[in-house]
Amino acid sequence: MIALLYPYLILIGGTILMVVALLLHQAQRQTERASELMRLNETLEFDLPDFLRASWPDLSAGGFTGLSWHLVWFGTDIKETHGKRSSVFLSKNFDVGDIRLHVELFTPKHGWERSYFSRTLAEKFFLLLQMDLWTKLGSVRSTFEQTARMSVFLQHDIKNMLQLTSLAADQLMKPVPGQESRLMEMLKRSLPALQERADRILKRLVQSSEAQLGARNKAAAVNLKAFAGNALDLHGLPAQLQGPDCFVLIAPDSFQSILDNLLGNYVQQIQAGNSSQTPKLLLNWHIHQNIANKSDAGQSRATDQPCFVSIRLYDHNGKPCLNPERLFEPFWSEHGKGRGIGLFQSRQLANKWGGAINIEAPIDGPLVFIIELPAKY
Amino acid sequence: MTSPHCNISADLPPPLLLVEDDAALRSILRDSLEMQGLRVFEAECRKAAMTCLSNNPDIGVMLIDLGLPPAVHSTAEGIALINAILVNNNTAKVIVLTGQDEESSALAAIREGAFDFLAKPAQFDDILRAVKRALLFQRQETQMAAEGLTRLQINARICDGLKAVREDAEERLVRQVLKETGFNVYQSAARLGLKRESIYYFLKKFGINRQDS
Repeated sequence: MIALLYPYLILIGGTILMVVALLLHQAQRQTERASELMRLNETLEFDLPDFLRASWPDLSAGGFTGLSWHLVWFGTDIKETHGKRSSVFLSKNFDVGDIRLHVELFTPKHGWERSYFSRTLAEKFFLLLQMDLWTKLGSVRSTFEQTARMSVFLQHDIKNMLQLTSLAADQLMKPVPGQESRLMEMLKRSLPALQERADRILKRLVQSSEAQLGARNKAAAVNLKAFAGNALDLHGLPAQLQGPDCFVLIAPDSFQSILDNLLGNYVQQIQAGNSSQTPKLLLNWHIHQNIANKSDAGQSRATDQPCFVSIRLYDHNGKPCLNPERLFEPFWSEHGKGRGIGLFQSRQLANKWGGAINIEAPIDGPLVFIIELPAKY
Repeated sequence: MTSPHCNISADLPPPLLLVEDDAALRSILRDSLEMQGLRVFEAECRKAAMTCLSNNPDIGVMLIDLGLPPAVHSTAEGIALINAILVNNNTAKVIVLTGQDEESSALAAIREGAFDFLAKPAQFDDILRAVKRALLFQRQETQMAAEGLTRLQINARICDGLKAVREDAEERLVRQVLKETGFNVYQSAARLGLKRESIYYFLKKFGINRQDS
């Protein structure tokens, strides 16, 4: 009896297999289309308008009959239509910041499985558009923030220079009777100082890109204990210094910049209440032959540098660091007052001098900065 | 290392303390003020300023920059300096001369008790006018103190209520009188019309010790 059913069962089974194979094939094709869209987006460096313009061939291959979009890109209207419009379409609106986008993807009237696959591909396409939009906005905001922060830092110096020139001009315009010789002396002193100020401003501007351009100043043998002691004192940080007498082989400016960034950051953490209220700062070091992190080291390492100094800086009573991965991220500032570039630049500077800056961030212990630099003793 | 220092210039009253981290600007400001017959002390950071102030209690006016080391790009150090002056009940008038964000800095400085605020770059005439005005006020207050009148500055929040304001005023008044009498409890009690025991009670209540005053 059951033998009579075999042909039908084979037919049904074969049909099911064919349908599954067809669905798998379609799914694979749509996956390939989605991958091609992602690759295209990456090739176009996640640029939203370029991606919108270039995506039509892949979408067409994915079974869509038409693409229409209306983009308001920082105040400029752009509209484009590719292929043919139809009564069946999938649409999406994006409205973030200065960017607004309305996209419509037209599909032919077809069965449920094609409709399903089209919807899946469309969702992936919309997701890519959203990602491009946020990427653009993120980079724009970051650039504005960076510019604003740099502006604050430069304003300080420029306003001081303006104040200096204004005072000199005021004194020249209305000299105090009987004080002419003193006025001359004052100008003799202040004009070179003015030049020095201008040099400092220029230096600060250059300093921002120093890490990228490479440290140009000549290395000197810097007495670690004396130099670090002075830096700590300048920041008003009492600290325990422990280590053998040694000299760090680095340009004093670069070393000063590294220490200023680390200590300045720590002071800001104390002021923000993010560090211990009873700081017990420790700075200890030891000499060794090999650097721990050789990733970027060696670019300017001299052949006669026999060893390295490993400097550990930490607050014995400090709190654990909650976001260690963020510390060296450029333009990330926990308290929002800094440029967010200090630690990043410090690491770059250390790397340029053949050293490195690393951290140890235990869950239940204080954050430790480890500065490795070429040294001699 | 930039060591804290406090230089005494010409021996001409009235004294003024200039707190500015920029050495070139500090030098030209000092020269300009001295040429006007003022006696100028100078300091480059909060620590040096406080040392100079305690060594020279006759300083009547302070001309300070808010952006001081180690935080030259924020107002934190300058505000902390004004606050320290107020806490120590120093009668010196504080004039802020700063390049920091004008609006927020002015508000913060005035909240902490600054007498005047000038934004960089300021004309020398404006600086001089502010200094003279501050000196005049300081002289008048000194005269008032000699006559037994003490001017107190209190930042009161209405929501804190009268009790908090009264306690703040009490503390400031006791500190001020103790300072004026050189921490002489007997004289302070006499000035305030209190018994000595009351003064000891206030010393304990407000945690005042000789170093504070």
